[in-house]
Amino acid sequence: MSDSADVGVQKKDAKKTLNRDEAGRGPIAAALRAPEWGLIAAIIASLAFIYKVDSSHNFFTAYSLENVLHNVALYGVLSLGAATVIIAGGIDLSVGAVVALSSVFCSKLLIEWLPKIPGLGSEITIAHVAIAVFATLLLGLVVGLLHSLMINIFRLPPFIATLATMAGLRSVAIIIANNRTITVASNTFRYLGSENRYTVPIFAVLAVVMSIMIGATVLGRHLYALGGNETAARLSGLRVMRLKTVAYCISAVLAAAGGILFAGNNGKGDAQMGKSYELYAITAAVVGGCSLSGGVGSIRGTVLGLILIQIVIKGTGIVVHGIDSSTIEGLVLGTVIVLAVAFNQRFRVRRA
Amino acid sequence: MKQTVVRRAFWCLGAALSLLIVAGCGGDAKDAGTSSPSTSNSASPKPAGAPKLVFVTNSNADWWNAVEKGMEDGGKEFGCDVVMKRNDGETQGQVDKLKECLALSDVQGVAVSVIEADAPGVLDAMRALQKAGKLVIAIDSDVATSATDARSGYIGTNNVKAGEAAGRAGAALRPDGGKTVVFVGTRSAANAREREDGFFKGAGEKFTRVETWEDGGNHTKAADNVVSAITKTPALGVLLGLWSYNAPAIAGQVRKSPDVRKKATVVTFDLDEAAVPDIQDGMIDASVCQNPYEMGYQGVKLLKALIQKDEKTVKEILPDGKTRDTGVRVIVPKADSPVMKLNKPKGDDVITIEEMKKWLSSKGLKSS
Repeated sequence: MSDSADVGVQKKDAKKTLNRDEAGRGPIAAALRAPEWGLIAAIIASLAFIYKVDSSHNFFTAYSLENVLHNVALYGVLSLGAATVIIAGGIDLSVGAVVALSSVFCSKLLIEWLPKIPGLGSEITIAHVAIAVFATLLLGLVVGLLHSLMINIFRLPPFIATLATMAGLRSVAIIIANNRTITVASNTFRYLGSENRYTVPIFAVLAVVMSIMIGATVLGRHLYALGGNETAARLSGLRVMRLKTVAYCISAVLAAAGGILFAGNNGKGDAQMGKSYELYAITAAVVGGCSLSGGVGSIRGTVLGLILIQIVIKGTGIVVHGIDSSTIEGLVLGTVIVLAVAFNQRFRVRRA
Repeated sequence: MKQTVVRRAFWCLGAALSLLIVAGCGGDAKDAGTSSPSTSNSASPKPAGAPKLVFVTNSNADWWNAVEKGMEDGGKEFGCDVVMKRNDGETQGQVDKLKECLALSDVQGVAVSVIEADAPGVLDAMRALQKAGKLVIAIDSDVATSATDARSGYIGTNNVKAGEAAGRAGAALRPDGGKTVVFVGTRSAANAREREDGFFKGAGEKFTRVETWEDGGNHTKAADNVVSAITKTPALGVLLGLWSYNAPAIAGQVRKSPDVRKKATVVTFDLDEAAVPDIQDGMIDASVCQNPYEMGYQGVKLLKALIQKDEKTVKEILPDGKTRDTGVRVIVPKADSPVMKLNKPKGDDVITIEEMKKWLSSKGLKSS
C-alpha cells in the first residue's frame, strides 16, 4: 500500500474514533468518566468551603462573581493556546513576552502610527481598533511562524526556542515603546478587555472553537498523536512539522489576543506587562489535566482548571482575616496546584 | 533531500539576519562605548564637553515622563548631557543599571530613585560609583537613614508629609472617618510605608486601616484587589491608592459600582495619565501629586553643581545640606470640594484638575 493510501486510512480511522476516548468508549460513557469531573468536584468543594468560612457570603455577590468571570476570560485566552501546545507535546514560554509585545504594538498603532495615516484621523474609532487588532493578531502569527522556524528548521527544542523569544520579544517591546507605558484612554478600545459584555463572549467563542478543534476534529486528533509520540506520529504519515506550526501559531495568536485584552483592561500598553503570565497559562493547563509530556488534556479541563485557580485566589482574599491576604495567596495557590496535579496523575494511573 | 535544501536555505537566511542585527547593533555600540545608554533610554542634546549624567529610575511608569521632561529642560539650561535609564521594577534590574554606569568611564554623575531604601545590593552599587569618583544623588525615593553615606543629597517628596496631606484631605472629605483599605505595589517600599503612615497620622484616629492589598506591580492584579477589597469589606469608608497606577485601578472599579462610589471616599497619589479623566468625572476625590518635573530639573542642577564644586548652588538647592523637598499639590475634581478649605495660606496647595491640566500643558506633560 502506498504512503498516501496509509494516510487516507488513518484519517478515516481518526474520524471514526473522534468521539471515543482512549479506552474506546462512546461519547456519553467517555463524558461520564472524564477526568474533568474531579475539577468540577474541586470547584464545588472550594465554593462550599468559601461559603462556610465567610459568613457574609460576599464572594457570592454578582459583583464578585463577575470579576472572577472577567479574570477567567482574560487569562483564559492565554491558557487556551498554552494547552494546545502542551497537548501537541511542546511548551511555549514566550506567552508573557507576546502579551507585552502585542499590548505595546496595539497601543502604539492606536496612539501614534494609525493617526498618521491620511484619512484615518487622530480620534480612535472602531476602524482604528479593527485595524490595530488585526495587525496585532498578524504579529502574533508571525511570532508563531518564527517559533515554527526555530523548532522545525533549526531543530531547536521548543523550550529553548521559546525561552529565546521570551527574552527577545520583551526587548522588542521595550524598543517599540521606548521603555515607556503607552496610555490608551479611548473606551472604544478599552471595552474589549475591561467590560465583561465584550471580554467574556470573546473568550467563550475562542474556548468553544478551540474545544471543538482539539476534541472533535482530525486536526485535534493529530495534535494528540503528535504529543503522545512524535516518532510514531511521523511514521504514521502525519505531517509533524505542519502540526507543530499550527500549534505554535495558535498559541502565539491567542497570546497576542490576550495582549490586546490586557491592554484594554489596563488602558495602556506596557513592555513590562505579562511577566510570568506564561507560567499562569501553563499552570491552568496542568491543573486542568494536561500532561507536560504531551498527548493528554483538554480545553474544557483547562478552562475548569483556570476557574478553580481564580476561585482559590479570589476566595483566599476574601476568607482570610487577621493577616493581609496577599501574603499567603501564593502558598494557597501552590498547594492547590500540587493537589490537583497529584490527583490527575493518580486518576490517570488508575485508568491505565 | 528537499527538506535538507530548505533547512540549509533557512540556516543561510538566519545567518544573514544575525549579521544584519549585529551590524545594526554595532552602530549603537559605538555610541554606547562613549557613554550613551541602550536604545530604550532617552537622551537630550549633547553640548560638547558637557558633564555626562545618568538618571536611573525604579520603574517605567508614566510618572517618569515628567521627571524626564524636567531632566531634559535642566540638561539644556545647565549644559549637561543627560540620559534616563528606566528600570523594570526589580531590585536586580536597578543594581545592573548602576553597574552599567560604573562601566561608563565618562559618566560623572548619577541620580537614582532607590527601589528599596535598605537593599544592600543597591547601596553597594551606589557606594561603588562614589568610590569610582562619580557623584551620586537620590531622587524621588531616598536611601534608609542608616545609609545616607551612599548619596550626596536627596531631591524628592517628603512622603510622610505627602501622606499627611492625603490624610487631611481624607478627613476633610469624610469628617466621621471610616474603615480604610490601602492599595500598593510593594508595601515594603519606603515611599509606600511613609505615605501609609503619614495618611493615618494626618487623617486622625477616626480612620482605621482594615487591610493593605499588594499587587507586585501587576496592573491587572491591582484592579482585582480593588474588587476583592470592596467585596470583603462592604462597609469600607476610604480607598487609598499609594502608587500612581493604583488610582485608575481604583477608579475603574468604583465607576462600575455606583453604590461604592456613593458610600466611599477615594484618595490617591500622583497623577497617572489614565487617572486624569477619573478625577474629572469625580471617581477620585483627591490625589496628592508630587512635582516630578522639579525633581528632574533640580537633579540636573544639583549634580552639575556638585561636579563643579559650586558650593553656593548646592546650598541653594539643599538648604540643610542633604535634602530638598519638592513639595506636593492636592488635586480635586472641582472648586467646591471640601478639601479646598485646606488651601493656602492655611497649609496645603490645593488646585482643581482643570488648573492642573493647564500646568501640565504648559510643561508639555500628560502626567505628574
